[in-house]
Amino acid sequence: MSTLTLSNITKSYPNGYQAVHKLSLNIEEGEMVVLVGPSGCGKSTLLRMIAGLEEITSGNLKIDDCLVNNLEPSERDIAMVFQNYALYPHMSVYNNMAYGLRNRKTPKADIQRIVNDTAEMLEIEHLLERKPKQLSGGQRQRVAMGRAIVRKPKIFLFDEPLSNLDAKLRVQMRLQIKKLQRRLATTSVYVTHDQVEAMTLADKLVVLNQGTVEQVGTPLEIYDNPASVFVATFIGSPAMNILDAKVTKEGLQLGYSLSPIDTQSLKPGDIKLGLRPEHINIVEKMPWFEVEVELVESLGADLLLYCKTLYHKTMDETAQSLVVRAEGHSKIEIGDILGLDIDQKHLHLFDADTSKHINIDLKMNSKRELLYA
Amino acid sequence: MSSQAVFKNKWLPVALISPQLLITAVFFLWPAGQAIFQSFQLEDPFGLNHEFVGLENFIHLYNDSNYLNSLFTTLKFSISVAFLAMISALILSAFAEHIVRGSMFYRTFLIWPYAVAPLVAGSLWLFLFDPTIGVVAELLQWFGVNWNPTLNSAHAMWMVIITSTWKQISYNFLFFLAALQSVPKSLHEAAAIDGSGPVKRFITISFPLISPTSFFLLVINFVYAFFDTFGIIHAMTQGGPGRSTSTLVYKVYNDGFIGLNLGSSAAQSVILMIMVALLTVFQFKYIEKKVAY
Amino acid sequence: MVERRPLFSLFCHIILILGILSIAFPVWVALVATTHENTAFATGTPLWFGDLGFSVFSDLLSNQSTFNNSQLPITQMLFNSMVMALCITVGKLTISIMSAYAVVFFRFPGRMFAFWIIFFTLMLPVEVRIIPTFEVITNLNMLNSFSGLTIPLIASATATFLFRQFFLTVPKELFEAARIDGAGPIRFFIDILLPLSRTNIAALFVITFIYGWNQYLWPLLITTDVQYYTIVMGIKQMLGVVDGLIEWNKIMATTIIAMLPPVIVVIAMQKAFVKGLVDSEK
Repeated sequence: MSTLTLSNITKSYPNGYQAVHKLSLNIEEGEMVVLVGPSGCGKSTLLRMIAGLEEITSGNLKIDDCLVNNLEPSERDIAMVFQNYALYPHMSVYNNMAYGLRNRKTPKADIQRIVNDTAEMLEIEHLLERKPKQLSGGQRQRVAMGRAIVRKPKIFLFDEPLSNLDAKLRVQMRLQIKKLQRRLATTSVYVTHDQVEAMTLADKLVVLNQGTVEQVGTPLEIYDNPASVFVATFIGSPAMNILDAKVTKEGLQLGYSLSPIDTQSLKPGDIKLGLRPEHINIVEKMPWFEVEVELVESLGADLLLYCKTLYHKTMDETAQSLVVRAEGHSKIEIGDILGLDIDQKHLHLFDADTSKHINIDLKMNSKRELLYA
Repeated sequence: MSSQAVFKNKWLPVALISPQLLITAVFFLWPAGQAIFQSFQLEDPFGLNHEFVGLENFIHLYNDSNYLNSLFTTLKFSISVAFLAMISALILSAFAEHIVRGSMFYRTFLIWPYAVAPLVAGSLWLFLFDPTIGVVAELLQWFGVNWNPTLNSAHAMWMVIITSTWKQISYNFLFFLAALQSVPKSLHEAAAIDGSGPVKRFITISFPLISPTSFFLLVINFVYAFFDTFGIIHAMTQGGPGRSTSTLVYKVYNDGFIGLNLGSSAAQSVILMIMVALLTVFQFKYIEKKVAY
Repeated sequence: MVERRPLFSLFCHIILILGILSIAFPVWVALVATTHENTAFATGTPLWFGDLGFSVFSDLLSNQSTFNNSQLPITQMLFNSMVMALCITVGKLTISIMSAYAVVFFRFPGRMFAFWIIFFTLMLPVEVRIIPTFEVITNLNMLNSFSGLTIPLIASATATFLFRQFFLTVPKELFEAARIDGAGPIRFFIDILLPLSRTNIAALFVITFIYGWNQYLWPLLITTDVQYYTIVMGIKQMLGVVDGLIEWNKIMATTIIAMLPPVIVVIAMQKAFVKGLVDSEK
């Protein structure tokens, strides 16, 4: 079990492009850290720097308080599972798993024992004599895991290991990775662009954007308190609705609808509202604002309603789109006009300029009743 | 491979590549440099005296009817070989493409002449074309042709052309067949539904689609006829009768090695080098040989 | 074949069989000639076997029969050809794969320069620099030696490019996995890259073996000692009888012997051969 410390890690390329910018992160013993972000956010580059496959332009990378910036990948005592598995095509499964151990001059008998034990754990012991070509996608994935496990490394690195699998297998393997990681309690860094994978696997979730950390926390912390519009829209499915609104003395103004919220602690002007589809309530009476349903998607348990805000016809406002999650058997059809409201504890506010979360306790304005009178 | 996936060692790669570089420098670049140097020199056959003569060797060549004749001979020879070898290969491959079963068998028995050394091919055909005992010569005489390649330049030329063609058909056949097989089957099916038969389909669909291959083969066949047929000519005609089958490469050998005219031979070498360089550039530029770096 | 037309199919087969027969015709005549006494040709070359059987071959190969103008037994010439072809093949493959490895998997000063130097060899076939190369060989005292016969021919841009092309298609994750598994440059080369290159090596082996075996101009230039004559040169020497009778039956037997090794390699390794031809022109 090991810790991993990144301080001010920067990666810039000769053409001036900075893939990672002054990134700091602590990873505790036995922790499963998931790096998540859109493509090009620097997550893979970061992982590859930890592996030693990319040079670190500046900053320090420490494994167990030992600076490893200039160590070869093989000297860092890490193991990596690649997206395309990178199994040696000419070697049997057994040799694929044994190769790293042989290079470390592990005694033959030990190699045999370790490989067999690991194969048993992964339920691939019947495949040991086969070549990678003769394996299914899921089996290859397991061999790739096995190759990482046999080395008993200080740190596991996973580079989108499930993205080449079909949806069903992905869920299965996700569970297996989680179980294995728990069982082996090895510090792990896992890169993915799939936020569901990220949420389910992470002890600690790191959301990256444009080479910097947007937010670090447990999956729930990040879901409940997204630090920025970026995180808010990236984590959660369907994504959080972000609506443009205005702060006035009376409350939050969305189009012509005024929300009865106490705005004294907010500075007047533009603001962004964040509403998760699952937190929006459809109300018969006294809605905050009204929408027209443009499209209905049934997921069985839920309905996803794609709506457009409905403003007073006389007001020249651009309609805004949002998604509402409703109960699966609600009788709602395209063209329906719905009244919406949201519990203010689920309402997120973001600064219109910086897109950062505004942390204040929202209070219901006492004048609410008056407004609808 | 993107830039990061490399080893960091600095000396190992130099050690790995140095044998190749050393051999290239000693046996390719040095002689090439020598050729260029000598092409501006006049040297006596014993190598005792030489003087700088500028472009004189080249001007000599330009004014030398023998050289111009040899150039003309080479062109005549190369065009004939390229044309004959490509046409016969195209016909064979067009039919071979239609064979469902046994195509491997035909391929096997059509490709082997590629493996025969030019000189050995020369020897095989010389026996057939020998004016007194050759089978083909006999046949031609039966048709009333007074076959005698040792005296008749046209006969000699035909003899080397046919032998060179025989050797090159295999190569062209393989490339044509591969190109024809890569024409999407759906195109043929569509055309067949439109009512065109195999011949029409070949002319209207396959042939236009394999034109890049044809163009590539044309260049390759020229290179072959220019540079790889020395053995055939040396075995069959020694450039004769007269100089009627003396191609440029044969002449470089003959002038330099037999005639010991070093300056002229070097100048001829330089001209050949320029030709190869042009053909290479041509190949890379227009036939998309992939060496993008 | 889009539609079924049995008659057209038959026609295709007939054309191809005719093609095969006409291409094989010279070898047929040569083979027939080896079964006749040399005197039989005076009345025209026969087209059917005589009664000598394989005796001309066996006499030649057991060195009981020599030519009036050849001092070297045919087995010795075969041996020379084999040594030359194999040395060129092994040498070419070795230095090409090493160079390609250096160019693809390392970054070192002068890498582009080295690449262009190798590229230039494409433009300088032996045929265009006959005399100066001969002089270099003379200066280096490499006339009449196996090293002179082989070493200058093993530099090859084509083979280097072919390996380079292949190395570029090796997924970089494989390289990275090997590095994490603790494989250094040598280990990676031997354990991963060489086994993966098997089919390419086989393809190049066929092409290069034919190239080496069929060399003629080069040995003609640098061997004056009959001891180093290859079989291809031997045939030329036999053809060059000035006065006296050309022993066609023996020459044809030697010709067939000379073409057999490369032809067998091509037919036996047909797949590798086709791959080699196609790849080396890419």
